[in-house]
Amino acid sequence: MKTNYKNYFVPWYLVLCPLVLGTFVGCEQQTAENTARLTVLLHAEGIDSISNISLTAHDINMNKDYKDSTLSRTLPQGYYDLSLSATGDGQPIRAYKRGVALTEDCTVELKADFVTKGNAGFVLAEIFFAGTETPEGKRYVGDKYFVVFNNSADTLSADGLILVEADLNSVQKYNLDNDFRDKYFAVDAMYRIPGEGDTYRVAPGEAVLIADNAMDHTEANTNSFDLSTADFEWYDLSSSAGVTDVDNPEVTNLDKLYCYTYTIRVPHNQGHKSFGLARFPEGVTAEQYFATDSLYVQYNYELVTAAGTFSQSKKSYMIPNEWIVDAVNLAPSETFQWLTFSDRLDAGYTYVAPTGSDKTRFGKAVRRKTLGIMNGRRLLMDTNNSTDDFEAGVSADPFYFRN
Amino acid sequence: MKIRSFFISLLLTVPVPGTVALPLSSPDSMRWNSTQQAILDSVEQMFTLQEVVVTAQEQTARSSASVIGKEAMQHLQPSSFTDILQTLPGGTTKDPNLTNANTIRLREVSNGAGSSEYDASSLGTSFVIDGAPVSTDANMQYVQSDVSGADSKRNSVGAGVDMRTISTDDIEKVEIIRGIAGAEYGDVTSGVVRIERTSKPTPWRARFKADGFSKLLFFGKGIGWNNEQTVLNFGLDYLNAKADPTNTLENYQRITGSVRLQQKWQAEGYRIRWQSHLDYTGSMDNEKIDPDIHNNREDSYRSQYHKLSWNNTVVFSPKSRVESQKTYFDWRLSVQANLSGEIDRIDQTRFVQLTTPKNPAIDNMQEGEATVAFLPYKYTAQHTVEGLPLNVFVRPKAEFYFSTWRLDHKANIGIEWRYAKNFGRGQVYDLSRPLNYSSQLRPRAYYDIPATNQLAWYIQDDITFPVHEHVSLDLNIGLRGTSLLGLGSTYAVSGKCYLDPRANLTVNFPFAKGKVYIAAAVGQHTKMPTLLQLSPNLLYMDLQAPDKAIAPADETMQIYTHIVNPTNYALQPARNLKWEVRAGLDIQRHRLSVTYFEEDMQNAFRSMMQVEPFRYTISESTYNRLLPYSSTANGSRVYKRGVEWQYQSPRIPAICTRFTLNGAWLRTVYSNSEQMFSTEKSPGIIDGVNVTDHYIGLYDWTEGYIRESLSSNLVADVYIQKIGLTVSATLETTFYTASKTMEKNGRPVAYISSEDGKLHPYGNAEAEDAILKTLIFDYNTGQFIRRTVPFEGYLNLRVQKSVTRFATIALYVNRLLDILPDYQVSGTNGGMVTIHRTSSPYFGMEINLNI
Repeated sequence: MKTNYKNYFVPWYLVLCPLVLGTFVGCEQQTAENTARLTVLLHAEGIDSISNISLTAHDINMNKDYKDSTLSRTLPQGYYDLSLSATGDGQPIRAYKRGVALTEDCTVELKADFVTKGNAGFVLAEIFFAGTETPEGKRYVGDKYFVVFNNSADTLSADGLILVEADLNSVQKYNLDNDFRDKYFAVDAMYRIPGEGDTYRVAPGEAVLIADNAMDHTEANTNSFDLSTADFEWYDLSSSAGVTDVDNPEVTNLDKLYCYTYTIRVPHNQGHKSFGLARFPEGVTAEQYFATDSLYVQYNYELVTAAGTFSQSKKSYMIPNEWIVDAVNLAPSETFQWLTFSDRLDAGYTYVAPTGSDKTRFGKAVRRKTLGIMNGRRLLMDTNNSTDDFEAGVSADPFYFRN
Repeated sequence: MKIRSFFISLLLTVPVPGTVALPLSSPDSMRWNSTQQAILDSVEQMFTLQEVVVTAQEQTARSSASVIGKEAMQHLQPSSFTDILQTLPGGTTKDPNLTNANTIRLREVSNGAGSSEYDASSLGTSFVIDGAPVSTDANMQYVQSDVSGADSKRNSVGAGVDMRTISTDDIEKVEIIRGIAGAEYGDVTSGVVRIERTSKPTPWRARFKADGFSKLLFFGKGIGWNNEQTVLNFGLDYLNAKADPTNTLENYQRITGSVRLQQKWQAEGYRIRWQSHLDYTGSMDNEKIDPDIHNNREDSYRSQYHKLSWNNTVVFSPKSRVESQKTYFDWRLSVQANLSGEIDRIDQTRFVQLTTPKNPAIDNMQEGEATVAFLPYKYTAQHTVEGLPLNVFVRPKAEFYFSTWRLDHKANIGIEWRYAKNFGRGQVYDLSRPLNYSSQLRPRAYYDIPATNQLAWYIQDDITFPVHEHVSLDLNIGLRGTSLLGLGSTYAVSGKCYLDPRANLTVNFPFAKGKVYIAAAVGQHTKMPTLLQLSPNLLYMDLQAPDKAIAPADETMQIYTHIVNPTNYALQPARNLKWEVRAGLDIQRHRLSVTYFEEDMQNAFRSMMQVEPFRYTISESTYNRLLPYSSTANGSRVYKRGVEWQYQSPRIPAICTRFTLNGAWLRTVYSNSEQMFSTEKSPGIIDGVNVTDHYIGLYDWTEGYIRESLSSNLVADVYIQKIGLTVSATLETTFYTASKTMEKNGRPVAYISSEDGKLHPYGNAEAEDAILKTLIFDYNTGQFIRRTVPFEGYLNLRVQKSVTRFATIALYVNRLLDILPDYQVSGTNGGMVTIHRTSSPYFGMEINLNI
């Protein structure tokens, strides 16, 4: 990115004049001739019938929504985010496009997709990475958790499902010399649900709670939760007594396949790291995975900072994108820099606070939106765009999805 | 550029008046003056010629050194000694930063070593106040478990003198020897700062200085009796500085008080001079958190420092001069004894709340298995560091002045004893309520640490040889031997004598209007390790069974405590070999000197990773792992090179102006000088294996960086005696600064394994192993490119004006104007990024009263 800026000292009143004048002129421009016609061309491959169309055009500058049930309408000139929801072959479908500049009549192509991409089934439903704040104002981080949800109509086995953390940082853009993101998801931690078949069965619409420490945290911090009934916990063994983790014998531990650090691992509390669910293909063992040189990739990158770019080198374990079951990008809304993995896995991102150090983030989580209850089970929204699919900064509730 | 050519044209057009020839040395003045004193004489003589010198002057004799006189110091308006360093060649103006420790870095790029691994450079710069060196060898004032807290920026352990503690108002003259110091100066690697304080009758002097961050108050007087046979000087100084003018909770305060007595006796056959100086320095660093806006209301940090120093010198000069037609012989004897004690105390309080459940309160002090309880979820930690350093310095010396054939000698022989011990209780805290609960440290009383006794001797001779009417030689040769005694034979350094030969040769070509000279000097310099480097605290490695988990209901846990003594018995003193060549001229008070120097310290102190394979048993299960720990070794190299120059014009009468142009090209390489273990890019856990617990690579690389700069200062100072006005404008320019990280080869040459605890060569088979392949660290060439920051220039202004017969007001502005052109650096995809720089000025003003 090229930035070019200079400081010129201009008297304040000269700056103010056009602003004041501009305000008057701007008001007068809200007339009929300053409109344009927007036509949406909807591509919906593999979908035979579409009904119940609802098109929302969000005027970014005026912060105003225009809703319509047709694919063509007149709008004031401006800068829009478009989102479309409809029913396709009886299933909910969605399409969206961000940042459409409407200065004259134009046609915008939207690609529609099913809201639930049913083949995978498991989705990340809630991620609580910020930790809590004690009544005394100190931080507490031992109570972080993930909720995995069966969003399919079938009972699925959670065995072998791997919770992964992205290695790249969403607020620190790297200029990769070999952009592997089309093929791989770079990870810095992999924790796997044990079992090799049907040990842990999850019914449709049921949630799996994975906690850092499955214990009652309210003793340490009255603002925290009792996670002792979690389904799984991740446990970091250590040979150093200065690094301790607690293991509830009643709760199954995830297998720690890989972690960049040998101390205990807590998810990034400012939400700079993204998460995913993955699964090794049938027949691939962890041992084989780690012995595969092509999945331990060295790459060069340029660290992009205000003071220029700096060359760096790094090695990461890679998971092929086809092995990813679900992925959610996280980044504070104002400091987001880039998507750290393929936008086909997740085209948007979600957050708990506008900036990483925002103190209001404690106790807040990101939670997938519920589309509704279908045939008695909860159906979650999954368009592979977490900006749309998630509610940002909700009050954390580890049992929200529990039936 | 325009300004400079204007000055140069002025220089060329204004006629230079005839000057008074200055006697550089004569047998009579040499009777009680060193060669340097002769320089001072010439400086003083200039004062009588209304020559006020407000900049540092380059010494023309012996080695390269800058002399800063009282006038220059008053003109600088310093808050602490740190501010004086800007007058050195290559020095740049820095705003006072009085809430951080200030250590000295001679002949280094101003933003040089960012790492404490190269502190031997400042540790090895000796501050000699009225003949007595300031020792910091017993300084252990740091909060051991708080490496990133309030203490980290304030402690100067192992980094030499904190210059904030030195007030400048009692100083008469400073000489900063950047080159090769005489053999009488020891326990140094980098240089010597000689401070001489006022010892003469003076009127009442008062000074009040204020700038945006600090206030300073001083008053003092010198009284003489009996025709100045007895002189008493005293001064009192108070400084209060804040990190931020709007924040009263973080500040630094200093009080110095000094009483200096000089008594002379004259009798028939001898003269005796006795100087007795009693000095107190107190300082206090405070940092608190505002209770109104923060929850952490208990949190506070306070570091107190109280030093009392008593310095006595007795000089016995017999009237024994033997003189024949061609030869003479004379001698004198002196004994200096300095006793200094400190009461240092850091108090830190912190409200601690556990961020994760179940952390052990480890209080086990024994090797072996132990059962420990867990810490409560919240508590208030109190940590005190008590240090009571005591330093003794005793030096009897004899000086001889004689001539042999046509050579004039000034020989000097002496013996030195330096004793350093700390009687403090050290780190005092409740082990079950630690400041930082994840650190595995134990308190230790400082009084248990053995004292160091350093015995040194030296002999040196200053020889002047007038070869010819137009050629004379000044040769200074010296040899110094230093030993550390009483450490016990386990220490390699114990009892050994380290020899520092030093020599300076100056060839002078005097003629009617002045002289031209060339000089060369070479010398070895040795700095002994500090108490803490010789006797580091024991390391307590608290281990747990990696396969036994702590359950939420558990009340205790089992640990194994392994005690490691990180003492490096093979530790050697840091040694710096320096050499330089100089050329200069001194013609009609135009003075020019240019120096090229090299300094190579190849075995500076560095904290280096050691790896010990260890087997331990907890609850009858046995485990293997590697224990990495750090220990002080001679692993750093500081390699300095550079060119320094200084030109000073006479004061041009027509415009009452003197020009001084100084500058330096400096290049410093900071690197490690030994193979090293590293876990820099080691992964954590792979397939259940904790990699660093079991495999650590040994790398044959040069970890380090290079810093370079070219800078120059042009000072034009105007002195108009009639109206009592002195104005100086300094054009401070840095033509470029450059930095580069040294290339690393991330492929290990060997690795150590926990299975057998042995080093194994690292070959191709290892590079393919699923776990061992992670020991290869990757770097790309782009990480090692040289980065350059181009030109920056500032204009600084200082003004002093007498307003009455008694009062002078003064003010200064740093960076009144700046020249900071935008520049481009590499951006992404081969593009460029423009860097826009800004600066903000810094003001200070003061009033001086002389009554």
